[in-house]
Amino acid sequence: MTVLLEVNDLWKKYSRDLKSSVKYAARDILRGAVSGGQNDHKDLRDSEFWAIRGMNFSLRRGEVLGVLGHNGAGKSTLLKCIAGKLAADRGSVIRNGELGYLLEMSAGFSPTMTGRDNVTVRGRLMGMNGKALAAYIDEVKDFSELDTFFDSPVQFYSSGMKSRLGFAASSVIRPDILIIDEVLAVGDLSFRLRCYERVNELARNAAVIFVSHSIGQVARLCNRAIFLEKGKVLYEGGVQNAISLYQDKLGDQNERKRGHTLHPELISFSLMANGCQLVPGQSLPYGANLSLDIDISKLPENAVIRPLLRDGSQGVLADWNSVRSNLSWPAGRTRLKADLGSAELAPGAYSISIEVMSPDGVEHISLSESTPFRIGGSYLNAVAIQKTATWQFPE
Amino acid sequence: MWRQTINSSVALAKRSISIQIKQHALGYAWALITPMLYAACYIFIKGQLNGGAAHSADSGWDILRAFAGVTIFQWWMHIVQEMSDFIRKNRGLLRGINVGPIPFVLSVLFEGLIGLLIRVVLILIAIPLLGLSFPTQPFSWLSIIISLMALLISAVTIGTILAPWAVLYADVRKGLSSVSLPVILISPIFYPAFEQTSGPLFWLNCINPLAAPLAILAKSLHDLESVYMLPLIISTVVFTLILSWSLKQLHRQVPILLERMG
Repeated sequence: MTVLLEVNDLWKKYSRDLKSSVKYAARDILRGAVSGGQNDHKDLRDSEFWAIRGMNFSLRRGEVLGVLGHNGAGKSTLLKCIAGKLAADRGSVIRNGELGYLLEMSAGFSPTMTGRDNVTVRGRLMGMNGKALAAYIDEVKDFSELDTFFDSPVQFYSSGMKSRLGFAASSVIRPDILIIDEVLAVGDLSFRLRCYERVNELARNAAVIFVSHSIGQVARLCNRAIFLEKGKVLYEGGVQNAISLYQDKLGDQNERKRGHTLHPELISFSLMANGCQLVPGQSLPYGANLSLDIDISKLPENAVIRPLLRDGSQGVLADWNSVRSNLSWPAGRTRLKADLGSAELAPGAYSISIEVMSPDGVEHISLSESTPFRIGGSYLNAVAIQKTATWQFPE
Repeated sequence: MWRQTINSSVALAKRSISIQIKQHALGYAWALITPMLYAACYIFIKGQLNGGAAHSADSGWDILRAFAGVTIFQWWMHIVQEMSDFIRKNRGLLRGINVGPIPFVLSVLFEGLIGLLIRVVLILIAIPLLGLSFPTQPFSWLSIIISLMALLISAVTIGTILAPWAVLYADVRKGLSSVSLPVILISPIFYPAFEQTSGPLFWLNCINPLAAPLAILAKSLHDLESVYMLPLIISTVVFTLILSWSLKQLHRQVPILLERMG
């Protein structure tokens, strides 16, 4: 199949501070005017760094390339270079087909104009006229489901409505190369599902590059992936492997940051997996049994103990509050064991910490350091807690 | 390709006009209000300085020159400001849609043409209202059209050259508002143009992109020729060449500027 997009040894640099950024831009503009567009400064100047370093890949029709990486890895810069919105400092991007992109979709909407007027301008800028323009407007109206709001000024829209209008206006296109940047977290669940459907439809006849922090979206939409770190491609190949690498790196970050604490010296604990003490960062299989061995000798009697399970981005996924178990402390005990059940979790990085509150549940006494761990295996979807049901076929 | 560019430019010009109308209660009436105020002040002060002398044909021409001069100056400055600000104002569309900078430049040009037509109509209405007569020579009308087109080209060119710098430095916008008054003072608006081909005033009028067209305009309304026609033609050719060079540069400059705007 034809190669629709080729990225050859692409390099892009940015400046760290505003003053030098403006100074370099002014110099580049003046130099370009004198030298007829040749960029002389292909090396780093003071306060500059490489946001993209020597990137190479190609894409054919029907391929959906997921781009994974942590913040600052160079994902959005890469897309903007491909879209021609940023000028690359070295290397080239060869596009063999019409380009469409879903980047900053609501950008350019005038707040005083109605949704219809904004969409009309966008349609005309995309080269539509007459019947094609009328069909485009109708399609955007139907897809965005804005009903009568479509004829109201955009300044009266909620942020969700603006995003829906932006997605609808930008996605009603039939490009050969499609670039999508973090845009599918739009509207409610049913609208999001329609967005996936629309992207799938577009992807069938195009080469697609898809950037997202959502592993679920990447797993669902992509058939190839690259993982970026500090502007470099660390991995290119299958989606599952790229996701695993992303999760590993997320886990590394998680292990370096032990989270916020409050009087951590008051409580210590050991995390056990299948009865054995867990080494921080250790990878566990799906469904491993988790338990805690907690030293409570420094805590006031009948304090509320609350183990917390967090994901890689430190969001609390679950807690086991001792109040729910009507736990009462026998006198003179220094250790407490808690069986947390099985770790029915999606592959990824997690951590457990313990929060301690006063017996009346009002005052925070302690928040321990967190113990990181990973769940291995293959990735199914974006939901962190993945329970196993008992399935039966009734006679 | 060009048809698509023109269609896009017309759509952007309509969008800009619609936004301006919605944002102003008086809309395009401002094109009349400001020069009317200037002309009224001018009539009052001139009348007082002349000891309240009766209105004559000469003073009618003076009032017309002041009214037309301020009207055209205001329009010219608006084009320069709009053009210099087009990248910053349209960065959302430049980033979000697969469209280059040329339709945005052309849209300001179209908007400028519409604004110019409105102002020409205002000036034409003012002539009989002041008891004056229209020029009779075809050459006068041709000179008027040439001077107005020269003004449009100079405004668009200066705005296009300033556009990348206006993104990088807020000084450009401040500078443009600061030079308004000096430009009015050095342009033949409240006094007739110096009509000799030597001396510093002649060269100042040749350099000032507003002076030569306004001098030709004032003379042509009297069916007279101006010494500034040749300098105007030369400067317009130079401005046109600079404009086409600047437009070529914009394709390379816009990605650099979008990056700096964050």
